[in-house]
Amino acid sequence: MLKSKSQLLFFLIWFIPILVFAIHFFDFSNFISIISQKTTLNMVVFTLFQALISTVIAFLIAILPSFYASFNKNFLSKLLSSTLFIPFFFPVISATTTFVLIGHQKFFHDIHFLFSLKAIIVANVFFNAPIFIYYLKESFSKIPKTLHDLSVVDGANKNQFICRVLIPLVTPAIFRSGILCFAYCFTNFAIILNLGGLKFSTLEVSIATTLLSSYNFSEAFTYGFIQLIILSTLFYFISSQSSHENEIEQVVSLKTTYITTIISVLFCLFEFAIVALSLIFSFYNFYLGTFSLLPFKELFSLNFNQEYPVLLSFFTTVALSFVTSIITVIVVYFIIKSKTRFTNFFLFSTLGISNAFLAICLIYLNILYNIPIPILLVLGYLIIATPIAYAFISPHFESFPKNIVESAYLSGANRLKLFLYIEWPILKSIFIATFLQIFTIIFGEFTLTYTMQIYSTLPTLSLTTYMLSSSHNLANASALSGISLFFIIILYFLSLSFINRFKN
Amino acid sequence: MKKKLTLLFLLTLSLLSLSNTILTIYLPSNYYNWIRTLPAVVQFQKENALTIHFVSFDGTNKMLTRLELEKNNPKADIVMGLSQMNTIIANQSNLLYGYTPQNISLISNSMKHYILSNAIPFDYGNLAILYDPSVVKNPPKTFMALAKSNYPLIICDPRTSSTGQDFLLWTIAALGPNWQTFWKLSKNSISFIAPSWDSAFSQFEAGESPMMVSYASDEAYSYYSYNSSRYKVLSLSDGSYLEVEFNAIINKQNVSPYSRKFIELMLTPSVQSTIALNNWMLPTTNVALPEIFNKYYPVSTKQLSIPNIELLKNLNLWLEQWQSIVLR
Repeated sequence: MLKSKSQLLFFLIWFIPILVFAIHFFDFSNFISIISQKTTLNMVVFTLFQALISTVIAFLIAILPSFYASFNKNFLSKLLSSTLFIPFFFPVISATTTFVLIGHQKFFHDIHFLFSLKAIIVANVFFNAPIFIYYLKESFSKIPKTLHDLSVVDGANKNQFICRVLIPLVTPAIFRSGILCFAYCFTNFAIILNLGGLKFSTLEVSIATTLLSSYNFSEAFTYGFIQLIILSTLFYFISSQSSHENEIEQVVSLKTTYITTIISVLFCLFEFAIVALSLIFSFYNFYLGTFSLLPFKELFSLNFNQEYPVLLSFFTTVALSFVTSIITVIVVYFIIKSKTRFTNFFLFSTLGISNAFLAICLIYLNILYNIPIPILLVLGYLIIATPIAYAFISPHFESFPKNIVESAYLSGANRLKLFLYIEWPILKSIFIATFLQIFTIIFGEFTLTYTMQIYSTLPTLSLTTYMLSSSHNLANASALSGISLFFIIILYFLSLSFINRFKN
Repeated sequence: MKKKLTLLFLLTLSLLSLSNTILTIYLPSNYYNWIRTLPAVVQFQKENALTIHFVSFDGTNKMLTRLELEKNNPKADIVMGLSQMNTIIANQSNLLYGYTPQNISLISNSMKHYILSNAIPFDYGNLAILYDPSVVKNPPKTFMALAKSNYPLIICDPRTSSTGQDFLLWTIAALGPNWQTFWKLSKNSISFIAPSWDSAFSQFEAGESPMMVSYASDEAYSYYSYNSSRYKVLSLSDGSYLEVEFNAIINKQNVSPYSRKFIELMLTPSVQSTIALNNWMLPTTNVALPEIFNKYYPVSTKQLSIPNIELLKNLNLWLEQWQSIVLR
């Protein structure tokens, strides 16, 4: 299963911290007692329920926009495709802050939007519907035209073609994206905490509250273990789905209706309004109704930095993101080179590891062995980023012309030469794009650093923003959040330009 | 020559280690900017040729989590701002070192009974209900009236926040066996259970609810910061509950003499006189309070408390009962 050294190394990187923690704190009798409690069952049921209902609604909302994005080539279809930036790169804290501000408006206040299941589901749909759009669009755009022509010859109308041919063909994509959305909704912490409140107890929230209240590390471990088992099982189903992609000369093209266009426009408005509002709130005081750029100016003043390390946290975050992104791309390259049929399952299962729990395990390594915090943080980020980087790079590697590599190998080229003279020139844009995308993800990461409580030791941008917000410097917090978001958007679109360069 | 060089190297090393004594202090984030820049603390570092490494935590419960993890390998020398319940848990795990500072004599008589053998009361404040007078025209005067008033109330989660935990204890101390009735009655009025006081206050300021569980110093803070009483503090006739914050030395093999000195320093007027306007709590020693506190800090004649032994025995049970009432 782990025949490659790189996969074994990655396995050890995430397994050792958890193992060390388990050796010191895991108590089997406690484990049995917790899993047999009714409260645990209720919590698991609620976690599954909110994730399932959010996934189903996200799917229903995404069907027509994905249809539009697949069969049209215009500005709206480009906008729909670029919503993929939201689930992976848009900081959850920025989104929840915007939802909270919207929730305080009269209409939403009257319908008790905030701190309810409604708010949790709407935020989950906002984040996850773009995942469906991405996968469905990819799948729709690979349906051969010949299938459509044959259906028409057999007398099928458009609806019959959609129901009997199109949908069965995209079912694996629905299944894959559904499980991915489900996993994100299942493990989300910030949405539940900020928009639902602690009365909505999911496994991830319980891990955090147990770590912070009862100091029962064995109980937190049990919850983390249940979460890992449930999500690993789901990811096993993803990895067992084989995708057969053939060279298609001509793909099917269908006309979209007005309703599809209207729904797609509304969907774009919903997604981008939240992003735009997050940017606007960085210089607009929502409560006073005034615009001001003063909070931006203050962020860079020396006095302000003596109190809140804005500049230091910017440099720390850039350095950490830079180092981790490079390491992640290298690790993923080696993992792909030695890919086995278990690689997908093995990598995606790590998405089921609770970030809060991982943070405590890493801090425990610092306590026991004095491993410096920056190294532990890089390891933590690597664990989070590797499956995502793998998902980005892997499809491009699969389409790589293997005959060139084989010819070079037969001509006596070693692995370094193969990489330098064949793989790097062809895949350079993809490596850079992945580097930028991982950089962006790490740049906005919050849960890991927050749970490690390293603000005074190694301040990151997200931690400093949080500290500004919690010490009631809301204007400065919004300004810093706006700067981060702007930076993230620029990096994301830069990465897209590299992907397009590769495709061209 | 080699011997001389080695000696010189060792001498330099020892000199460097002497001049770079490090004291590690764990403290909650609301203390961080205040304590590390306090002139008395800066002077203390200069006088003793030592560097203080301040490690801030977002709340005392997270700080205690770290101390529990570090139980067998303590990294901190001193911990500041522990709540009463934190000290009980820390004592149970033998995390704190027994030390009685000489400056303990400065602690006011009313606070002397809070002194523990290994935790020194640093400051204190009364819990209170903060309300928006533009919405709450006729504020309730008792817990039961509060429960029946149906005004939306923001509370902090007693599992994650010391403010939330102390509010739960306040209801228990005030209502005795009827505390569960209060929570059952007010369950539907609770608009938001915040993970921390900061999060609760953000929602209160945004107008989510006209009432929240907070501190008696909030009205003084409102006058000091905004020169107005945008918010008012409600004192309940059932009595008020004190939240006491403690400083302590961490129990480790080599307790630094500077740790003892630092604990002494925290009780001196140069530090205690800065508590009111920085931490919005009251000092435990007899230092003069700013005028604004005399005007806007409500004085309660009925102070409620729960003995440590009872807290230790029942807290987990109370938390479970609270969960089964409020979160089910």
